[in-house]
Amino acid sequence: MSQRSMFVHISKDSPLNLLHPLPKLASILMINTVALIIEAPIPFLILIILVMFAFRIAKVPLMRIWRLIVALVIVSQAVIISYVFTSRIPGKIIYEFPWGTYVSDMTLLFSLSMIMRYSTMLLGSTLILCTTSDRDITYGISSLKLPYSLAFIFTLAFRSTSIFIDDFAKVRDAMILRGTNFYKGSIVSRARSYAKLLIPLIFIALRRVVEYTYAVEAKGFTVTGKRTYLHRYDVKPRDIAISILLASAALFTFILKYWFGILSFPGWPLNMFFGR
Amino acid sequence: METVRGGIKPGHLVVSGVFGGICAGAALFSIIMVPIPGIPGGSGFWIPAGLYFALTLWFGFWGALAGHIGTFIGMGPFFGFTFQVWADGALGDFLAPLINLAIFRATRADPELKTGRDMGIWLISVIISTCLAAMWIHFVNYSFGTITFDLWKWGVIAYTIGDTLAVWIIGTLLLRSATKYIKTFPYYVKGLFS
Repeated sequence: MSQRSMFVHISKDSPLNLLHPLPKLASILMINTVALIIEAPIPFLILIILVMFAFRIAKVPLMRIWRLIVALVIVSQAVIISYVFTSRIPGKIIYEFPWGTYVSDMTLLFSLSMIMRYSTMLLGSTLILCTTSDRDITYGISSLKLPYSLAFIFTLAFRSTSIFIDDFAKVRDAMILRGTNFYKGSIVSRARSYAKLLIPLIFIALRRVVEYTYAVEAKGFTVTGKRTYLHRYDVKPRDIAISILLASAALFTFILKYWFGILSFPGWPLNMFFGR
Repeated sequence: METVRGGIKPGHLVVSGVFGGICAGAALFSIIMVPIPGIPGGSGFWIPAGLYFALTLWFGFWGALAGHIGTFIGMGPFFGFTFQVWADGALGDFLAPLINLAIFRATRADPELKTGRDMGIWLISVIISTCLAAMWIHFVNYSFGTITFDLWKWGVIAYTIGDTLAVWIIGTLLLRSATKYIKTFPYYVKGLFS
């Protein structure tokens, strides 16, 4: 049996499915915070391997990772170009540019670290969201004692996206049938043609806003009042323990970097070789 | 229609949700049509910018929130639902229209853009707010190590030009053609929230 998450169908017996939305949101926060704190390439490598291993344990299809390769390639080339041409990272200088920046032996290593930082955040967030449904997000936001309205807006926006894409195709086809050419003229005139397409879409959306508002008000929805929930997500001691463990992991990473310097660039174990 | 504290109605939330979906769709479209290599979820012609600047002048905070959520949902499938994508693009796209709205409210300009004064305020406020958002966005990219400080100023200039053009082309058209009708809409916002 499989179940639909935000992106993919995953096995119903995935361990991450058993968790309350709260530790799932805590995981996203933790993986992003930890990645932001670390600067050292080897600890990043270890973290990425652990996240990949977590993909296997969570039974998330690895096909999801391959789709992210394009994003990683785009970001990687930008980071490398940015650091090679415009950075001054101290080290043994290999090449100095006329505009004052230089490439040192540390430049590529540091840019590699930054690529791994992005990769860690990307993989970690994807892993969690692959095992999270939009309902989990709604309940997760409520668990964090954030206003339910926020969860409502977020869920509605998610569902409206596909409706908008359908409307967009219909309006564009109607305009093409009436003689609009979206592929002719300068970039500005083409942009203006697309902008004109947004006007009917906005009026369609306004009509939807009125219809949806009547629907939610008819169901007793209020902005601030108390509400009941169809599904019950009880926070178990296991969920609290995992959330505390994740928060401790972020704190531990912070201490390792700022107290012991292990996670500062170039970090453990490279600092032994580079004498920093 | 039910009215609650502060005059915020369920309709205002629905405005954010529905238009958030539209901004997300427009963001997806922009990234596919005019991508910028290297900027996570970036596009050379950010269609949602024109949309959420106009939405914020019509629906205040709720329009900006639609831009914020829409941008995050739109950029996420390409570059991950990470802190970086949230903090740079999504938060920047939340701040920019709010700054523009603050300038409009302070100068008592009319979003219908009928007079030369209103038009002048619109054109200048878009540059100011886009430039401030660009500074924030590239500061976030610098903090996350994606760009260097030397590249920051070039990023700010490029982003300001690209986004300003998108807002001028799309936003102006939307404001001039639809504001008159949207002012009659029950969820038109005169202040910040209601």
